[in-house]
Amino acid sequence: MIQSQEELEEWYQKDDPWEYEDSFDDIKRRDILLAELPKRNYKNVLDIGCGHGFVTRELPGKKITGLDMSERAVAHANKEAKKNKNLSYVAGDLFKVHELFPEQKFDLIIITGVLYPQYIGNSKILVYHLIDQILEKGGILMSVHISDWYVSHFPYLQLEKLIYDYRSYTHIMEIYQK
Amino acid sequence: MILMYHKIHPDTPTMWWVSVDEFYRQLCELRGKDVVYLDDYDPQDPNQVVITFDGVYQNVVDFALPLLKKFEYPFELFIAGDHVGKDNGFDSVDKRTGEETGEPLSYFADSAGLKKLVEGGGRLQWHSRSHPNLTTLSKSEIQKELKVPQKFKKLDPNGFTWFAYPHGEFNDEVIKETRDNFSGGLSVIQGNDTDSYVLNRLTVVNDTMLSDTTIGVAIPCYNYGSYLVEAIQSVLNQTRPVDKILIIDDGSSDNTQEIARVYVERYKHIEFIRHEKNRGIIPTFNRAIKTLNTDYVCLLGADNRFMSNYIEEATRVLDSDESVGIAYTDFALFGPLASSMFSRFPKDHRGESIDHKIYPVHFPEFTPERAKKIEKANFIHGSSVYRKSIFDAVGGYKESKTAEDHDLFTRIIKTGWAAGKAQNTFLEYRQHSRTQVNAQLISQDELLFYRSQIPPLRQELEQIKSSKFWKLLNLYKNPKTASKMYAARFITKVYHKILNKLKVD
Repeated sequence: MIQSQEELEEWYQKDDPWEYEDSFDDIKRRDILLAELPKRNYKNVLDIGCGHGFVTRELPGKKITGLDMSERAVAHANKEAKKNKNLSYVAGDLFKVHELFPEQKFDLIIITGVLYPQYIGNSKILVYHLIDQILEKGGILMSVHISDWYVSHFPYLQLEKLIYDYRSYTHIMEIYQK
Repeated sequence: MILMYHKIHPDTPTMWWVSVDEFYRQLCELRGKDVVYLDDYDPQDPNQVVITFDGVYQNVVDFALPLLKKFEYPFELFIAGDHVGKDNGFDSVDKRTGEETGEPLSYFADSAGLKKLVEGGGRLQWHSRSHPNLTTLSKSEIQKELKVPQKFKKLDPNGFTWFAYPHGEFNDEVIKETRDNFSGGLSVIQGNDTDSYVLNRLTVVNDTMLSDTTIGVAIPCYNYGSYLVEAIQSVLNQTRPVDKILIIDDGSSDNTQEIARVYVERYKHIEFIRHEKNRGIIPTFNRAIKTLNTDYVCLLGADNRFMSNYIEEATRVLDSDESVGIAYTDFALFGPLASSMFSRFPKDHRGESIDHKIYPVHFPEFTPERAKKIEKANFIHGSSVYRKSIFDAVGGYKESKTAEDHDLFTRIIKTGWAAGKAQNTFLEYRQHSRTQVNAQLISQDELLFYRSQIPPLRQELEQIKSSKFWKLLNLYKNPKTASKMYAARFITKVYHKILNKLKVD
């Protein structure tokens, strides 16, 4: 069963429930992501599953938006974001992205730790379709997930795929261009 | 055929729920059919299909609507007026048996949700006011249940011409009232397939297949074990799933067998055959297609990959036109030799490289003029999806002066078949030299594959080690160390048993 909003909010009673800030592996995976990001002039960037903004706040681009299901996580992220005018956070459901951003297209979308059965059940193809509606033609999509629970593959050309150790798991990072 | 759905959701707790991914597959399978509104439905036409939803639940707005819009299918929505915007608490207990149904609480769409559905191609129809069993009601009560309030009629000026009997139940009185107020009535299994006032519907569940056309992919492999995992994964990741995957090993001396056998164990629809000695391309390809024996077939080189919408887009071409025998795509060249291979394609076929990593090659659309020149100027690649029946008719792959796939497709086109280009998808075509395979280190995906094998193998080893046979063998082979170890364990066990007994006493 997919996790309920209540459960998620419970989890986000802590500011950094997964303890990213002090974890070597999380700093490493953020460094890898930033290093592997194709070099472009990004204008409109979206980070799906941004949590408290651990990766979001480091992303390049003119306008950066973090999206997370948890209102608590977004509230925490917003506290930090005040220092940075380009950065904003939105609480909302991945399945509503086409309604959350009806007039917008992004040229970079990052999706980290979201496409697991506990969050999306059996609906990966709808996720492809919804993200496709907000990704600009020629835009970049980066997907970062733990290999054991990740069964998705976006219908775009894959520019790069990286596999590296992450905590006691293996991370898969895929870079696509639409 | 009239299909009946209730709930579309990422989770499927009971049979009344269809998962979003299975729903998508079913929508793909309907592409060869004519999906129509009930007003246009002819029960005698076997190719026509109507999609209906009963309820109508909010999850249909959230999860089904975006996909229905993508396919541009019309659909019918049977609403029970009193429940609009409320929950289905009444479903938790079976009214006939009084037993709990295990049906989780879910919400019906409100007027705003219904409006979105109408805007997306849905048509509102009537499912009664309160969803009672109409056969137990008096004439005036039936009339009340069948009356559609003005506030709903306003939501859809084209709607409310059809009625669906609650629980599929009806009698003569109910039919008479339906005739007076609607242009047709739907049941579930209590009706028939000809009378438009008691039409039956198919209750669609997760496993329901809506097309009998089967799709198969064969992956011939000769010492490409390093890339094989990527090729297989790319077929497993397709947005439209295939019915059969065949890995055919043409006498490889590398780890091809090892990888293939693990996949066969993991997936029911994967098969593996092997030539003990290398027989070469033509016998291998012919055996691959014959063994697949699906309606649509194709070959994927073990060093290449399909983009994840490849099968969906290629089968769309074949599904929508019976005169098309072959569906081909563009190339996306990648790998160390991609740029040099790219420069050999005619200039007007070359796309723009992406970061010097991927080089797209665009092939022209199929026309009768190009068909005439296909022998000299080929644009239909060897991984194209085609009909197995044509393979049989023209006698499969044969020895020829040109490449074996070029020769086969030329013969097919010469017999009058058309080819069609699938849009928005690519064959990801790896450019490398054969020696690079052996020289390079183990590939990333291969590594991940072996890693995923560690836990089950470890578990198996533990089981062997704790078996009596293993202990006896160990005692026989290393009597001294083994007896010491087992004796020590035995004594500790006995000691703890005594200790526990003392505690209890």
